[in-house]
Amino acid sequence: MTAAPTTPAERSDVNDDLTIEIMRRYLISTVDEMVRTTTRTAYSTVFSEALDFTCALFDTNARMIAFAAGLPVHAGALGDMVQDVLEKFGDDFRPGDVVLHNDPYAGGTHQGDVGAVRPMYFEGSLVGFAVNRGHWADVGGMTAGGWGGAATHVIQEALIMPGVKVYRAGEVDREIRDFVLRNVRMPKFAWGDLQAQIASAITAERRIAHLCERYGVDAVIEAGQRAIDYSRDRFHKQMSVIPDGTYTAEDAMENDGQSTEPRPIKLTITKTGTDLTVDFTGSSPQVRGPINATRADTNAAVYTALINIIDPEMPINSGCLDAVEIVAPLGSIVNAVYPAPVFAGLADTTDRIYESVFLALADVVPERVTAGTYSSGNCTTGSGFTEAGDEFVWYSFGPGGCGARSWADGNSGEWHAMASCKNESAEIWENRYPLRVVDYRFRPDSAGPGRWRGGFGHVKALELTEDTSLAATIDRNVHPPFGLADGMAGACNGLTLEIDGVEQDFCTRFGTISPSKFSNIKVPKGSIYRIYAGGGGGYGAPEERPPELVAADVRAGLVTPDAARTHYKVAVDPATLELLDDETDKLRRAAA
Amino acid sequence: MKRVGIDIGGTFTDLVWYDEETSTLDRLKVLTSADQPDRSFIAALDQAGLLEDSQISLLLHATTLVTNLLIQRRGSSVGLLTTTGFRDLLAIQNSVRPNPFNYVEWNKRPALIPRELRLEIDERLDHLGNVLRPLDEAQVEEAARRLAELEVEGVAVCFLHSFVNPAHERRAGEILAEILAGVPISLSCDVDPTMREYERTSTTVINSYVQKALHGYVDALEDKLPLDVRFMHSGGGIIPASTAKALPVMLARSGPAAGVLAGVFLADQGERKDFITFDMGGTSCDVALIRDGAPEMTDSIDVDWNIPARTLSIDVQSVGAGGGSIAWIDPGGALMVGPQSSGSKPGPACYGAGGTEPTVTDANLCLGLIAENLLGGRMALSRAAAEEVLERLGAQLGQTAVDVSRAIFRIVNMNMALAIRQITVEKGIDPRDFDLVSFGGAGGQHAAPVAAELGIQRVLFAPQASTFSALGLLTADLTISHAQALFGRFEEIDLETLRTMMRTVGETSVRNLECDVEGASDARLSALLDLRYAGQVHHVSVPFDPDADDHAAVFERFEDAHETLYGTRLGDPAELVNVRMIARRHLPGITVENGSHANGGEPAAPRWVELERAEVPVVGREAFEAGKSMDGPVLIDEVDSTHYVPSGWAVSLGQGGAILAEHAA
Repeated sequence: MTAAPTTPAERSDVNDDLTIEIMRRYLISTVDEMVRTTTRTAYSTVFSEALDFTCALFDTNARMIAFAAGLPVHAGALGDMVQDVLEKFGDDFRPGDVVLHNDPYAGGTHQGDVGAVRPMYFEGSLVGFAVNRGHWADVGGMTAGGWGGAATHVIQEALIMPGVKVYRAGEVDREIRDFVLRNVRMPKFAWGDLQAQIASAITAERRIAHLCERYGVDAVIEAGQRAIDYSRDRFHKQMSVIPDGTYTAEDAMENDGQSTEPRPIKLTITKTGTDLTVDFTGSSPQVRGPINATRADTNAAVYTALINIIDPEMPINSGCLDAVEIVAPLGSIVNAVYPAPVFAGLADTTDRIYESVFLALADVVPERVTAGTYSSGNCTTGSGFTEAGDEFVWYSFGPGGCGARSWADGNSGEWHAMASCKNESAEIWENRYPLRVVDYRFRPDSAGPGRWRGGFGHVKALELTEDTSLAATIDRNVHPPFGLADGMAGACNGLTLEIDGVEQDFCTRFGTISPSKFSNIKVPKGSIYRIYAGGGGGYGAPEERPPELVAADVRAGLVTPDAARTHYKVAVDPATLELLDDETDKLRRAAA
Repeated sequence: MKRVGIDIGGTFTDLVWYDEETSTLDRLKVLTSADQPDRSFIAALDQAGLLEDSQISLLLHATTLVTNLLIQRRGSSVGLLTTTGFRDLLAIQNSVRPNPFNYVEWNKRPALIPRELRLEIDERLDHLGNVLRPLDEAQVEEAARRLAELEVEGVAVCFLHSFVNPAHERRAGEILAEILAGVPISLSCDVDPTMREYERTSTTVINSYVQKALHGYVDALEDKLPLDVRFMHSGGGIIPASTAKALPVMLARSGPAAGVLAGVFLADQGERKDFITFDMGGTSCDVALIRDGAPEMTDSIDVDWNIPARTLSIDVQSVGAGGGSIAWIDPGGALMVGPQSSGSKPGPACYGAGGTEPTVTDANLCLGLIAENLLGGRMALSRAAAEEVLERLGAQLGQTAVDVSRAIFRIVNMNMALAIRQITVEKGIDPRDFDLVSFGGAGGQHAAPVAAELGIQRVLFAPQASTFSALGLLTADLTISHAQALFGRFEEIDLETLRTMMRTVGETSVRNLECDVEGASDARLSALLDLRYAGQVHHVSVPFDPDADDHAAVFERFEDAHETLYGTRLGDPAELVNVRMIARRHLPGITVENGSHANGGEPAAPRWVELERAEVPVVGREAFEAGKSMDGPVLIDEVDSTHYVPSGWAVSLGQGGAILAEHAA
């Protein structure tokens, strides 16, 4: 690549180390600016409310330079997409081009996450790429919103955009636009959100141009290299928290929606000095249902776990992301190939992967992992038409109970490691969709007991005021979030439907194979749809938890007196809810 | 008559008073007593000889009391009533982590009210305000008795959709008031009648949480004073004590607002009206935008992570960058500055009070930006102590004390420049169209380099920089803004409905400014409409004249505003979200006789400044007041601050007694 000419005066202080360092920090703040631009201008609540999108800057070699607060599940998964776009277009880029990409087998996660890749230029020279990947409200397919739990083929799930230019040199390609928008539900949202994605990329280009003007293109490129070196060196240095050795873990996706058979995920972590390999050999082959993870999903999950363990405050870019070797057998549940459906791979299988890394390393770095978390997107959609004939699609996902730490209780009503999205307002939902939120409370006894207990899950109950078609792709409805070091498991996630006062699960009422992975279940208006978020697993033996902390949870109505007695060996007066010291002593002595 | 402003901050209490007869302004600074701010208040008045002064017409107050109660979680034990199903909304919050990659270490901030005190009431409205389930009054009575038993000191009530139909909340409030006599009740339909239940509940709860302490504080002041105290709210307006007591959440950012108002006053003194205020003290730097003489506002602030208060506030961006900010090395080997601060105790190493960590002030001393003695020689700084800690830090990076000082200086400047970018560039505003107004103890040393970083060409060094903020109290008006949700497609909203609602909300705004103030005008009302493209989440506020405007005029104004802010004009239908009614009662302005602002600085021997690699002349402020202009580099020493004008800048007297530095380019 050729650098734009710079004046000698500008160049004079450019080579100084401190200036490069300052520019490195400006690159990171540029991505923060992209995020804020997206939030302010987006249309769908998935973007602007729930913040389900991610921004990053890449250099001309498809290496990530800077990434901002967004979804961890996206961060580690962006590089392969940019690589694919570069392979596809070579040097066929012009200023103002925008490439759309959501191909799950070529660097994408699931098709709902649509990437907008826009080259950045300064005075005619390509200096890198601004990338914004976000979850569109709908990308077509058999189920509104894409969460088709009964899908068995990727083509059923959603439209695939394998790297297509929707803008050429700043001009919209009307054919591509019309083609895409004709194939999605509620095209206005898709187009509005794409505009927000592009606006953020334009912001980045302006900001980079400003840096280039001031310091010269070479210096900006050097700052990008510095950013990568910095993160790699820091990652290598901090990696020493994990002792050299080989560590293994096995967990499973409880079912794929097509059968009740659990699908194992196995991993072996080998660490020697700064060499770190995560090998998934032995994991299940890809399956018929939509729980297959793409290569990008798997990378993202592994990075998220390792960054949490090694150094969560480090600036994320290729420097740390490329420092790990990930072996994921092609055609397996952690690296799917056509035609395996993948929608839930992103939302649930990634959770199982990051938790497996935690599980493998729990003995050697107990203070840097958590016990099992509700760990599902709890993704479910409802769709249909109102009496007035307007089409509606709502998409619910949310937090739950997080796993306990070896030094603290788990958080309640908080996101798992792979995501961090804002909860949506019931008042806004009731204004937009034909439903009412009738319950939004913590579930007593949902937290896994332990010396440190897990976080509590909560229920979100939706009273549907129109006939609605439901779909879901949720895991951890059968296998609960695990406890660690004698801590107990948390409560499972769950879905039920209440009609005429009778609350039942979906297998019982509708004969679905899975209780929480299904598509197009038609339910009548007046039904109450309950989405139960699970609780986090506990850490350490429950009978070692200080009795006053147990009693405090009982007084708060979060732990029942029965559970206090059974699991924690703590006696609480059922009437006054006061701690009974003598009886507690007795219970605990008997248990010891 | 005299007007008195008292600004109580974490370290100092600043008092300014203005004599209307002589048009003179005086100032005084005393140390704040953190536990008993009312004592600091009285002590400051006493020292100024104003305690028994019968000539005081107006006593104005900015306070960090509410801010500190929230930061330190020292508010009251209060109860909350919610719609059945929603008692845990306050604890579930918004569920976003500060750093998405730091999952394991994150501890969610606990709710301000524990679960035992969050009670549910059977009642339900739909989104149009229709009653789906009537209020269970017996349940409210039972809840009131339960809360009485638990000895709560306040109750917040927030029911779903109450901003459309407040009847259930009002009735619940009546029942609570009967049973819990004397306990203040905060209803969400009064505190923040706008959409989104979490934000509304949070705002109402914050109001309740700080209410008792504020009542106590106001009562303590009124006991000891012969006249009423008026308060500055976060939006930079003055409100009577009665309104502050009813809506204490309005005081959450009372402190920083005064400084921005002082900037507005400076804008009134001359031709330049577009300012970025730059208030850098010991622990933080507050920046805000003034456009055409008016501060930029925000309708929501976070008092803690994910704990919002929706109250109209001056949009002050704060970064942990001050004289006491500590320099440290991160795990990747990069030099960082702040946000941790050495505070006033032990303070920077050069204070010689036991500080062992290198700070911005230490670096500035080492660079020659500040003199080795301050406060007219009353406070000596130890250059040796500063160099020792800087050398130790530099050794880890293979740098000398001077090199590392230079790096600290640039990094802290970058951090502050980024804060300014957030309130300008990121909102589509070009900072180069603004003058930077520098004040606060440390502002003068950094303002010009920060301006240069952003391409800003003019810096105004405010007079009496360290008490400049308090001046804002004397120049503010009585003003308040109330919002009310009115939701729907804008073109379908009947203008008569809109006007009726505006009248009701306007009456509330006027009522909340009622108080006897000599010279205050009658209240004037103006209206804003919060609009967005149907489907968007974030709104834009545009002015609305109920007598002249029709739908088309407002829609066009909205599209203009959207285009200015975000660069897009979509032509899609608009949605109305809220109506805002602003009441304002003008107070007579102050006119300061042109006197000297000279502040103890004297021409001194030139100092070696490392950033210039040269001996730099040192002058006092009076040099410019006498009409002198100079080219940088030059240092302007005052008793409590130093202003640094780098080479490439020219310096002369500017508007309102400020010193103006202009970039030569």
